[in-house]
Amino acid sequence: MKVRSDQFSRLSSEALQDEFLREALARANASFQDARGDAIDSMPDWEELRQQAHEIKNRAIENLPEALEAFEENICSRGGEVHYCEDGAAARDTILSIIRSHDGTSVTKSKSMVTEEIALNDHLEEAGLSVLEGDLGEYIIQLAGEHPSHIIAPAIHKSREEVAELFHEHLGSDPKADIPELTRVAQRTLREAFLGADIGISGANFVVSETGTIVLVENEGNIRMSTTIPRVHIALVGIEKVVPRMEDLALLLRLLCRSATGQRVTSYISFISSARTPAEGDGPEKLHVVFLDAGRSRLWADPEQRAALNCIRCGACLNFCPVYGSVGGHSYGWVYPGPIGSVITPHYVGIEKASQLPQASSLCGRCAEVCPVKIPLPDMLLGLRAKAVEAGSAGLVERFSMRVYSLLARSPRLWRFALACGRPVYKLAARAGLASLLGGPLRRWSRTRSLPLPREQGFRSWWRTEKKRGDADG
Amino acid sequence: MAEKYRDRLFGFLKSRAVGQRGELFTEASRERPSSAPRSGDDLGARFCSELNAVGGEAADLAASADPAAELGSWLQGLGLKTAVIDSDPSWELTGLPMREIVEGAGLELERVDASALPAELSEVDLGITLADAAIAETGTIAQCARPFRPRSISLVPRCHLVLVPRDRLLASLEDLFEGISSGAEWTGGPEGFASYFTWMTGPSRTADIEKTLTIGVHGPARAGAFLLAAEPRDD
Repeated sequence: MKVRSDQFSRLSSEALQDEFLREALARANASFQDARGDAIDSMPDWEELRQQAHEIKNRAIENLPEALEAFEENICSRGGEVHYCEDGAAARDTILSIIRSHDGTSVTKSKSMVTEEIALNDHLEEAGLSVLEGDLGEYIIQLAGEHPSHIIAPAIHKSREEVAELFHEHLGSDPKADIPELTRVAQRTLREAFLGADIGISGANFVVSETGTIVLVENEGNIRMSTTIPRVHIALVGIEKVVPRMEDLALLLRLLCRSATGQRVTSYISFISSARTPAEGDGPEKLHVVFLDAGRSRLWADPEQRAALNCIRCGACLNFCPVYGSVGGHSYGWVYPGPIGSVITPHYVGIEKASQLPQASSLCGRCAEVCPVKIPLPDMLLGLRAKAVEAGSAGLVERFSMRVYSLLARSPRLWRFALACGRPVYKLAARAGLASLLGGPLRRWSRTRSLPLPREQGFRSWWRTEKKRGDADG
Repeated sequence: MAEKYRDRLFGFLKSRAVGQRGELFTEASRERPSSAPRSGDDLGARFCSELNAVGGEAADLAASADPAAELGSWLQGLGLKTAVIDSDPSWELTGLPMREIVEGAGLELERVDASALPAELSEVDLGITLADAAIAETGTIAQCARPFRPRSISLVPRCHLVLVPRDRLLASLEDLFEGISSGAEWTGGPEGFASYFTWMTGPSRTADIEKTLTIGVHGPARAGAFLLAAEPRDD
């Protein structure tokens, strides 16, 4: 997918003008937050479980090569084929050549962020294949020619009226159809597609070393369709998805489902270890697993940022982020939005193409509080800001003012002197209004802000008088 | 090309030792969370309340005087025309004359040709199966693909009815995963863990349009699950 993350500031300003989007985001975030809250209220040991999940994922990531090899050995021993791809281009070519080798012409897909990452649909369609998304939200945005704006609810930015209009245009349904009717229309169209498809493509929520198993979590049943009916199942998987043991899943699934949608478990969870055996009546004849690196091994080798690979893609950090909640997923300019997107995008596409993203945070810390595997997202955003400065992202003014600040902050005497000089200037500025003082390029910042008038007595002098009075009383 | 990258990737990963490497599979088992039921609890009641809370239709018929009649009236209430039953040999152990119950409820039983399974099953209204296991903690049904039970029988018909002998009911997710790791009979066949193992918890659902919950998208819109006494009843 084309990277537009260097345009965050423009894209987010545009998003802020979109009233429906802001309403939709407010409604969606409130609903996600309530559902998660209810779900974890029923788990008194939630914090302890988060700590355990954090340890499980750390251990899996620390042992990544061994865990991957064990997975590969087990799934291959039962007829699966495993491929490793360095980047998106290699993965696209590998998948296309698998499809060609099976004479496939029609593909159904389940929702998968990693297939968005490599822009798989465009590539397959250019090669003349028919590709249909099976997830309702993904199907809607495929018809609209757009990209997902949330990793759990991809079409959260679309109103029911827009969906009705889209379905009317593409499928000839009633332009005034309500949500249940729209769902039925999509279901009927996609059922035909599933029954006629030769190739099913999925992602994976986890792959398990111990048994060589792909684990897929969903609510609609479209993943089961795509992995059951077509002749060939191809799973595209980031190398960080591997966990060593089946038992690890008990905890990870509990935390994933509760954090994502507030469910105890989702409607369907599938564990796929091989294509159909000779005695079985249905299921694919061949199973391929395509592992994608595309920046993950580089991130893995960075000890300060490696924890980003622990992410289980629940979306909780998006749902609780005040920045995501205002500007929506498309503003982030690539596949992964929200705090986790601001951390992994610079690693996957290069910091120079995404240096604005680590700035798109107030560092309020809610993302770290809700993350079910305790990824320290604010610390990592700070680390990335430092990297961006090292890469030369800071302008002359920023570098100069930071140098002055650092000089003042290192000397208490200089600091007090600067405050004493600054106080009358600040008062004048606050009375005049910020916007009238800071014009030119600074107006973008100043026009939406006002300065509070300072109290007559500053904190330090207040503290001295209070302390004296306290000493006198005591 | 892809095969060559495998060697480069593993070469790179193995050249950078990170953190604490250890044996992958030897860690001690964890405690179950306090919210998960234990084997002594009333698992039947927990199973039913969890499944009913997410839109499934569950009832415990283990103590019922006439489970066949209760199943029959539920089936009648569906208002459907056609049904298919898997050919699980353990139907016999349940002591339930399932074919008669289904036909007695006015449904026509279809025979499905194995070579065209999903397409033909897609025309049938109701799939009827037995669970390999169930999880009380979450109201979940677990099933392996088996020669007598295709993957799609619980997926493509509009409704799914599953019966659960009480002795197949497990307390928590941990109990199920321990079963898989220790190769319990209900997790597969002679080759080990089943080729395809699926969990079903209530009907198919979506909230993809304006976060509005809608039941029944690709999978069944109605999901019935009934617990049965473990041993056939002597009437």
